[in-house]
Amino acid sequence: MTDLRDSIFNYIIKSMEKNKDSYFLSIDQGSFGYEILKKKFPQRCINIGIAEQNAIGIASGLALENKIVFVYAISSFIYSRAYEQIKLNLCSMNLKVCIISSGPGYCYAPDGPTHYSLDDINVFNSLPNMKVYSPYDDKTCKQAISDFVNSKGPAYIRTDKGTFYQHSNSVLDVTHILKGKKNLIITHGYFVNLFAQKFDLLKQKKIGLVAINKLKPLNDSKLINILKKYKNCYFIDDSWPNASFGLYLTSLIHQRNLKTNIKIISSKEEFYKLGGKRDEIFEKLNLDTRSILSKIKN
Amino acid sequence: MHTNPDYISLFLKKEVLKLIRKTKKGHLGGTFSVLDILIALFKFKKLKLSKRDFKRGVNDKIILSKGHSALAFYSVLEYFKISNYYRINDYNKPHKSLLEHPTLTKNTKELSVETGSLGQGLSIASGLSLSNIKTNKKIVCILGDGELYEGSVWESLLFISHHKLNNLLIIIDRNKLITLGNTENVNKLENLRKKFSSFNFDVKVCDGHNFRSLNKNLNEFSKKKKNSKPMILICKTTKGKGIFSWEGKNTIHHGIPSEYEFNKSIQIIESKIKKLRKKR
Repeated sequence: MTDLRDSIFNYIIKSMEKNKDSYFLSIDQGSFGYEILKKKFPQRCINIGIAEQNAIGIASGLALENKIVFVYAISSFIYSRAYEQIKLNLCSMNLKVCIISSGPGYCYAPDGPTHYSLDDINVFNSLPNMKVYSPYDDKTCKQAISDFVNSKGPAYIRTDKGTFYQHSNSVLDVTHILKGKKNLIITHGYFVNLFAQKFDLLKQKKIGLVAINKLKPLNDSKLINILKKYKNCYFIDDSWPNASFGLYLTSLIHQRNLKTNIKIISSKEEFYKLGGKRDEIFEKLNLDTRSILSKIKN
Repeated sequence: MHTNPDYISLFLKKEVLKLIRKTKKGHLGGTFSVLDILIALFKFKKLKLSKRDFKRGVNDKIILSKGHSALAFYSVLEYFKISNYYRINDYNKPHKSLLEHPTLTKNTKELSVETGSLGQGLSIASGLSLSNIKTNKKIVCILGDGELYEGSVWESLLFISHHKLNNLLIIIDRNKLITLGNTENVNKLENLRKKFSSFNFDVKVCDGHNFRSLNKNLNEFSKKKKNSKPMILICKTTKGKGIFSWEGKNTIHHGIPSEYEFNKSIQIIESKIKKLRKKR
């Protein structure tokens, strides 16, 4: 098991040790890993303050001078408040800035709708030049950071909270974690961890599991080769229905004339305004593993 | 190439007017209010803005945050022969990336930053400045006064002031007009000098069409010592400066003068050029 945020920071620190021309900008967001980073690189780690738009602008200016920049922020704020700067500064100028977003999906459940990030993947997926990652273990955190550092242009890494299972066969893009027979679950990030806790049940029901780390650009051909082996696939995450990555997969299946049936299981189209921890909300929204698995018939 | 900045200003205004008469499109008003500021910057010897500096990659940087005045930038880059790519007759042509707003491509690196959505250039300029705080590189960011309505500008100002980024010169093209009227009738900006001073900036005010005054203030900027306050230069300008019957009118933001107004403006410019030649 590993704390996902600690993992991400561990690899950012390693990257910044190697690349002296890199910067870390925080939008007044801390963590255990952040404290270590700040001590190691006091000149290159800057708290911009609660100013998302300014942070992306500053990151852009640094990146224009060939610096590698990490921007750390709460997910719901960074992509909404600074969307235009991300689109026009980072993507249009194809700048090497990596947004580390903290608390995607319903991660910050008790904080209410202002802190939910249920359409961020959809938003970033539509932006040319942007890469999108949703890691689910230490290996995929390492791969996401490495892939960003070794490629051109901006990236968005969704970094969830909590301790996550490790998977020996995790790769950068698409991992067929568990092979099944007729039915396949496709998911990413937090949901991979939820299903990892139900591996025995998945094996019993012969349900396969695919975990996607690099959502964009997606390794289409790899995923398609996996999909061909299944009759039904279920894309699962907590996005709003019209913002689900499953819609892209549906389009992909249709374009490639695959016979695989796809069903999207997502959040409801609403601003959820009741209290509870994330797993309690998932139960109310039928996004808990029990509800999901009951929908997958042999 | 003439060295007299007043001549350069008149010459470029004439060229831009001839172009816009053909294309019938352009943000003329803001282009003509900022033109003299750009000429002053390129003529200022303590800024590294020569063709050689750009070619060697050691140039200082100009960010036109008020991106809709890109035509002024292209015309100055062409005049000072910074690169063969900038020919104002190629403005908005399909085979070139000389659009209404600065667009960054491999051929247009001299533009430094892509702008067009107001209020964003200053943050980028502050990142460039932060990256170069220990080098000799200077960054100049030109904003429109209407652009000061954007909240992101004030986020930047707080950061720049706190981190004392005094290798950055912020210039405000203070023509007092936005598309629909005078800034003071929409959201009052004055007293701008006091506002910027309260943010801990070293604020100067000058006539944005007087080259002596511009030069004097650029000199002040070049002498800035470490840990001193960053500088903001408020340039009092006229929107549509030099366009007959359009000076100071907000309709010149997008508007195109009539054939009579074009001809009259060019006539006036040509007579001013003649007077300058006689003085030589």
